Amino acid sequence: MRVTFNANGRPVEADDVWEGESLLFMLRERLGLPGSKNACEQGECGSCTVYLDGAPVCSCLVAAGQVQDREVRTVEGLADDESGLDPVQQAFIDAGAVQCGFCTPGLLVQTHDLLEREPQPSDSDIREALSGNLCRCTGYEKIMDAVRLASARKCSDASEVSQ
Amino acid sequence: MLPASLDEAVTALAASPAAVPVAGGTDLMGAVNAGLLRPMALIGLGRINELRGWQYQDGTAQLGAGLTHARMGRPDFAALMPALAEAARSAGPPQVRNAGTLGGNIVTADPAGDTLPVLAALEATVTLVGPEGGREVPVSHLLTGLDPMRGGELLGYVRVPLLHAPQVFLKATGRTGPSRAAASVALVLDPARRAVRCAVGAVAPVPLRPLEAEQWVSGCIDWDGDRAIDPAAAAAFGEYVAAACVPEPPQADPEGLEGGPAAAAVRLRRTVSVLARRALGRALK
Repeated sequence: MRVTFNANGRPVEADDVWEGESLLFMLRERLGLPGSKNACEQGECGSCTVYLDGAPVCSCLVAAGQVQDREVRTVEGLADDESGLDPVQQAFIDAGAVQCGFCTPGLLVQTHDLLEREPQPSDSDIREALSGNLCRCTGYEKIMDAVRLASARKCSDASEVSQ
Repeated sequence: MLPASLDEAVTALAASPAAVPVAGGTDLMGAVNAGLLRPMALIGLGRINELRGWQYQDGTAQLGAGLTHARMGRPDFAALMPALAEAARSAGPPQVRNAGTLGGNIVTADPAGDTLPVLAALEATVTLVGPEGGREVPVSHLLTGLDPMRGGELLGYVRVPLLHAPQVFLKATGRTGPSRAAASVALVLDPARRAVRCAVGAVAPVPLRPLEAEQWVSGCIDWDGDRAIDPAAAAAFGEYVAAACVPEPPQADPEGLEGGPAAAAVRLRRTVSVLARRALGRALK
């Protein structure tokens, strides 16, 4: 089966895709986008989180064929060449929220989505939004700091623009 | 295969009966990834727009099987079907709720499926569509296997009565944050029939309805007044529900086996009893 879709703004195509193959496998093994990580393959850990038509999903639980003609945005698509890292990525670095880094791509996509929907989330909003992303290194405190930092920077940027 | 309508999907399934229909994929792909299932072909239902929304139809809501948990959790949905919305919100982390569907939850029929006790308490029905047309089946008949899905059929819609009265869904889990229910209770009031309907999820292969406890507690409520109930009656209701849905614990665990089957059964009974009491209390508040 051939699958064509849009990945990070570019049309892509994968050939000889098996019916039961996951979007995650297709991204990592066929399309050279290994940013999304493969861990539990059961939707428990969130390390494979990507945007599918604008909603974050676990790419390990999306059948590859379902992605035909749809839009996927992975962690590789958060930064852009002109402005560099996304504010969420910069905040994770600055807050020390990255240790081994395996869970980070999923957390970045999920945090990106949270701040798009809710620029000033409460702590419980953050915990709810990240409840499907497991991190075994940080104990989550630095991650909470990173999300708060990204939120604060995004809001101050927005207010500078409006002034 | 990515059919664009329910009819097309039924035709596609008739043409290749071995193909597996997939909606959100959150259960199906988990099984594929674990090596439990090797589908020869999939029929993707994600493109069928008619199944992704919901509408009113003479006093009931007709819910498309492709409604995601995320959609069911939104305020407009919660205003009409609060217990279903609450079950959808607690069904998993956001990534899973964005993909997993109502129809998938029913067809997978996991014992801990969160929407199932709510649908049982609401006495919802499902529309199954096959090559010979559609038929309507109570969700409880489908889940218990009294009237199972036939070959070539797809789940199209779920019909839920709009009761315009308090509805509660409560769930006990092993950790904070989204996880599998150890036990769940859905409780709805039906003031027009002066009835309380309750279903207990995750303690048996299918949701269980404690019919005698429902009937008894309906008689304890002051339906014409402020719907108050004696706290002692609410506590007794909890124990009645737990006794009906969780088998009698064995006398005692064998010597030296702490936390064995007897202790687990006692704990589960207590959990269900507390959930049922609280659910009733919140519905009558």
